[in-house]
Amino acid sequence: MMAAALAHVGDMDARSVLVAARRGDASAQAAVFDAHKHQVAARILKMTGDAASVDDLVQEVFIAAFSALGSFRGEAQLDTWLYRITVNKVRNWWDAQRRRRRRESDPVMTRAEAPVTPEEQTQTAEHRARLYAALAELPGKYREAFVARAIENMTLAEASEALGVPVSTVSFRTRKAEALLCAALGLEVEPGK
Amino acid sequence: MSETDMQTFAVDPDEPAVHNAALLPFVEAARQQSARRLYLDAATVSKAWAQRRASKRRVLAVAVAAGLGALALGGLYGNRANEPSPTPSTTSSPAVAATDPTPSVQSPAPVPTPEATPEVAPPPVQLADAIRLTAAGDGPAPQYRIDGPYEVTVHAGATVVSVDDAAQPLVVHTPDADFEIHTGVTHVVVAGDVARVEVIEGTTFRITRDGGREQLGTVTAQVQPPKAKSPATDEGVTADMLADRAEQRLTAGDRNGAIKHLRQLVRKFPSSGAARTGLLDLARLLKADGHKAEARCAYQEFLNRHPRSSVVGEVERALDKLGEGQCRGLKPR
Repeated sequence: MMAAALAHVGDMDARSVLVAARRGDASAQAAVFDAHKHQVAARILKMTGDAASVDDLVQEVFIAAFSALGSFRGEAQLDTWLYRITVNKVRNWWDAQRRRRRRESDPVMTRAEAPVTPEEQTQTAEHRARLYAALAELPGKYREAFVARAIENMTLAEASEALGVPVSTVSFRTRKAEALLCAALGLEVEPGK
Repeated sequence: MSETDMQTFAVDPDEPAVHNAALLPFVEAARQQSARRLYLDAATVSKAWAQRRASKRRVLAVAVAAGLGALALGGLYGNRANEPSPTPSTTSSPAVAATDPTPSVQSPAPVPTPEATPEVAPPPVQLADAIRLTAAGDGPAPQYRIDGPYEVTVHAGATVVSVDDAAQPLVVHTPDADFEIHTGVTHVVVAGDVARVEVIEGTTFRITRDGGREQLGTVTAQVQPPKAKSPATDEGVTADMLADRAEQRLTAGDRNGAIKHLRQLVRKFPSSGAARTGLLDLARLLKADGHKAEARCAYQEFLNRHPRSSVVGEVERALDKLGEGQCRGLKPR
């Protein structure tokens, strides 16, 4: 109920909810959480491709957000601010995944984690798995630009605002990521590209 | 062209995100991921946030106390003319207080400087009469801080905690987890970030991340195990050591070796953080090794121990994928 209210109340009311959330008011925190949880969760899924990590990462994002609400000045949308927190948390997650994979060079572990339902055995699932495996090897800034532009389907301007970098930088990083991904996936580079 | 160079060029605002058509099926696959149910709720996040904030404040308080203590100690040593008198410590451990002159986190109150008058020192915090903390036999010397009549933080060492008909339960903080001792005798051993808690008798609960309570079973049989059954190599082993051993075996391609260490981990240190992830790793390895019944037990045990974990949904799905069958119990080796 409060979640819906947060989405529609005026700036002053929204700000008072954020102030209360920062103080630790459980109902205010619930309002912020409920208003944004699904969007944050969907983004995390697209950024990581790992459904099993979504809950933990959502929790990390909101804990960080509640702790840092004092630094939220309101120049940006709360949604954009949460996006940047999400990007940071997911970047840490990718780093941890990379370290973990290096430790566990056991293919059995990978197979044990692999989905087994018929639906998951489709080519789509295989493509997805290969793409995220390739994304894992990209530098964070290239991966983040590519995910925002290609997977989240943001325009250059939207990605620029979400990531806090110029449009030209988003464009460059996305192209760079695409080239690296094509190489990793063994895709032929199209003539002239 | 560098990223900096690129920023000076005009960009077509309508340029496609993906230029190579061969990459599009991969991108489409990623876009098609359907949102799954979120098991997390606002109350869980709020509690986790509050706990983390409290933890940070505790760390800050300890750092400040230690800093003040160090400053005061510097003052004491810097002024040899004033022979320092014994500093009353509200929380010193029996093994350490008599011999170790260095200030430690055991003392919540800053050590008074020679200039400070004892009259202005804050009154010492005392544990309730019904509660006693003592060193555990020949184990490492305990280091703890009394936070209140019914609250203590154990930083390191082996401590025997006795609670006898106290007006309220004793809350014990460790780097690993928090516990609530209602009555009886409990051993608390802290090494680094790992805490091992054994209930010798009485009632003790582990306080879960979401503020819930999980009662710990008594391990009276482990208090004085026959020497023959307690090989010297296992003495002093910690949860982290077992987790590391499991990882090493896994890296070496020895799945059975990893399973063996993980079994020990989840059996010997059920309340440790390492056992939490260890239980899931054990389940996956058992499943991969064809031990479906035991994998089912491991997943089920995780659900029993951590019913409010954020990955409960995933674990339940993993259980479903294992199909029908019975759990016949984990097999300690």
